[in-house]
Amino acid sequence: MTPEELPEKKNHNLLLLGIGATLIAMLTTGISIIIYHKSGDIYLDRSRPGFLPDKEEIEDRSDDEEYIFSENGPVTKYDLDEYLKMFDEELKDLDELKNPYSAEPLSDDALGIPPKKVEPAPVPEEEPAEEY
Amino acid sequence: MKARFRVLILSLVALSALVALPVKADDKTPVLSKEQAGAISQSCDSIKQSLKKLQKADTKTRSYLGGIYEDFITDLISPLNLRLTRNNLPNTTLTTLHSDLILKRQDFAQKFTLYEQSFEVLLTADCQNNPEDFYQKLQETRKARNTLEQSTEAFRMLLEKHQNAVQTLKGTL
Repeated sequence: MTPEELPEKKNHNLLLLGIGATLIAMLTTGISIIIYHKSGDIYLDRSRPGFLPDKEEIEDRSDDEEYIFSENGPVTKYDLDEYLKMFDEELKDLDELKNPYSAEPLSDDALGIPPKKVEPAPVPEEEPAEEY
Repeated sequence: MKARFRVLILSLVALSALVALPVKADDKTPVLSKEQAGAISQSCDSIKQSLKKLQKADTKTRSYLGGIYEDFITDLISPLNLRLTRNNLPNTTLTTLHSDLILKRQDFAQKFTLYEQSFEVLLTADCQNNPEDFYQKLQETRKARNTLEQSTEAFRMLLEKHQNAVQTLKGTL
């Protein structure tokens, strides 16, 4: 290779490096997005536009009292009573949400789809009475 | 060699005959009446808006339930079982219920993912020009939602069983 050809080759290599790096970045980003969708993490992501938590939701969460049972200590009736009280409080929080994922919001009525009209069964024609 | 080749060809033909699906006339009966299809086409935009609001509410519910389920397992049930073990009072019922609750929580997460995937497909359906296809996807989403609801009910029942088991344990002390 002549000295004149060397800079050209270097530029050529640099271009290939740039293109290669861009392609690899696009490939790995694409794979990450696919995994993000397939794993279901996208549906848990509250930072998506339109799915950000409401202001009231953040305030409510910060007001929630945490019920933590210690893993150390004796096990007496008193301790289990305390445990059951904490358990009851958490159950109350759970039961505040009545019928989560009930069928109603996706019903025809809720979506404004009219009910299917059931056509009445055809009445059989009466045979004319015979004249005697 | 020729015989082997013939056997190979015949095997491939036989395999393709087995694998090939039988062709028959399409016997799908329409799910929607003309009136229903018309109503869906006309109010496609408002239906989509309602569905998007529901999707947002469902995500909020998922967040809330997920947090509470985590609190039950991490802050109450796990520490209790550990404390019982440290006090030489291991309880197989409580241990089994603990495992069941962890599995049920994972099941809930999986069912929610399936439901949301179904919902996404529903939202991309063209309800204006193809209401039948939209309604079919709606039926599938309804099934997924029902499965998800059953998962939450199952978790609630396990919590009640756990509560009863602790009551029983308290009675033995």
